[in-house]
Amino acid sequence: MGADQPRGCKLEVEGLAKSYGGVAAIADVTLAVPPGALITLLGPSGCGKTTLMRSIAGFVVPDRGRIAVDGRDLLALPPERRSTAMLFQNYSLFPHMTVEANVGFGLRMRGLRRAEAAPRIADALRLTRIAELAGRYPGQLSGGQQQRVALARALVTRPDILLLDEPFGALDQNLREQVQIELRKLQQSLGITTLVVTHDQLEALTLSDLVAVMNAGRIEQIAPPVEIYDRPATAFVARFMGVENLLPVALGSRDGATVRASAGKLEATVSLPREAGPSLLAVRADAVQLQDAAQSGAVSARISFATNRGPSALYEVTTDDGQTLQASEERRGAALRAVGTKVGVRLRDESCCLVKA
Amino acid sequence: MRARPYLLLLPALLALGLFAAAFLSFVTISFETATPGTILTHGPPTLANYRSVLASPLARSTALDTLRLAALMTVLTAVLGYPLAYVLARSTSRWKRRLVLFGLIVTFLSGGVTRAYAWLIILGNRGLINQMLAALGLPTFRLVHNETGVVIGVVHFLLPFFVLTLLAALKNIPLSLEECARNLGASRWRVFWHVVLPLSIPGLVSAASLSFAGALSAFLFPELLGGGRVHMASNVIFETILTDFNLPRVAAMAGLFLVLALVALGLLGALERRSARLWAGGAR
Repeated sequence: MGADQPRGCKLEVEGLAKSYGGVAAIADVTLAVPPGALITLLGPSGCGKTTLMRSIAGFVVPDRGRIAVDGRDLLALPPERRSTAMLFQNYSLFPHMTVEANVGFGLRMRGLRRAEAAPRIADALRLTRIAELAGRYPGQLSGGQQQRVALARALVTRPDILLLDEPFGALDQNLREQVQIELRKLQQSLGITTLVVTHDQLEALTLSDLVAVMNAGRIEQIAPPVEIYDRPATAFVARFMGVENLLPVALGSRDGATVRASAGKLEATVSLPREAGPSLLAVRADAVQLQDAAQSGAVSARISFATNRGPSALYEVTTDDGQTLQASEERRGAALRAVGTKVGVRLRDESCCLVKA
Repeated sequence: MRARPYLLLLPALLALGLFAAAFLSFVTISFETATPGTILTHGPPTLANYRSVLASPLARSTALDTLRLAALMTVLTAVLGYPLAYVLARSTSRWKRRLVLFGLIVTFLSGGVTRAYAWLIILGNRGLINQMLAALGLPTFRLVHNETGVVIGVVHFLLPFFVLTLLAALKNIPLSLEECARNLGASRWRVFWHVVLPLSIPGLVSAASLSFAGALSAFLFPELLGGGRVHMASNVIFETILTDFNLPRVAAMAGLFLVLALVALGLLGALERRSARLWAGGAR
């Protein structure tokens, strides 16, 4: 959008809480988003992520707490005076206006004259690659096109904060991945601070600088996506990020920053837990290494279930000491291991971590 | 057997047939001549009744008064009813919604005659309002036995029809559109003006058509609150039967008023379809 592209703004949320009829939708949420970053609020439905986003937009009045953009308090302002632009889940295009009028709506409401607005509308349409749709009505557009219009309409006002509510939920899978990457590139090139609400962990990993995993109105963990994936802090985050095995462990001898963790006969050397308290060992299926039986150093087990997942095979193995865990293995063209086969099981240290139970 | 489903239509067809027959005999009569001193009519077919009605100053002024009053009543109903419908559709306060709905349902369910007399008590020369004005030392107004009284009574009668029809249309406008408009910088008032009102136009026109039809056929309130000074179609037809005792001429008059009403409603219907196309669905 030319020279005066929206500079990134810092978004801060402090001690925010909102309850409905005694039930907390969000409880004491604190987060800080650095200028120009994209943060994803990730969690199951009812975890409070939408309430948090709507509080920032001004549609929910929190019971207490503070929201600030570049240090300026936001809560005192009505929704129309906040410089946040929200992309609604169903896009919410105005059906009685053309694409051009939809995109120009925010500028009109801010009192821009037609001559000032027109080039900015044209820019936004070009940026979202829908210039040729300017004269159409929303009813004549495909879902993907509607989303672009909604995005252009949000961006044209040059908001301090861009809010995206489940932005890809209505798109089919192929289109979704393509649009996610496109949106991420656009967001990075504009340097606009963005908050995305989603329940799709893959989407969160693809898009974000930071992921905040929410559960029951609280933030369980806030970290860059790689860290969320590799080192989930809690059992909830681990499960939500698709960790298949969460094993009860006993911690053994420490060695610097690592500790020996044993789950029955299975053992792994992992980083020390960040917090005290009971821990579980999070083991992704692909961190469970299967070997042909009778190799030393492995725990003997038996395949109890086998299925195929495209390039890999997914097994359920039961160890001799009675633990059942999921393991996956690249097939490399080989047949699946048969149910009942004896195997040796070993955990890959680098792919395991301790999480708060 | 294929005949069986149609048997179910029989009662409805019978009722429709009766209605059509009554209507047909009414149309037939309008082309006949009254036998003086009786309620009987005889042939041959003539257009004399229609000519006489069209030439009658009373019929003409009645037609104009009826259209004017019905239009006025419809506009007032819309102005008063729209906010009520909006509160019902959008208010987050359950009490507010209940209060409005209760008021409308009470109006809906209480009989017309009861309501007309209630209005007489409130609006009469020594009624509630004028007594209050007098007690405050203010001039009193003639609020009943004139057009004002009729308009008040009919608007009150029409409100529930209007509000409940519009309510359905307003509920169909997604709340997220209003939120989206506010998010884009529109104040509450501009959200209403730029989003809610345009999108509700098809619903508004159908609610207004219904009200207009109700106002055109108003009989009770003009009769009881008009003090004989307010000439609306139904009342004039009724009074002409009693005074002229000329069934063919009255039939012709009623037929002409009916045609006028149908034309007016047809125009509104066309407007409704057009607005639905223009506003709600984009250009299809």
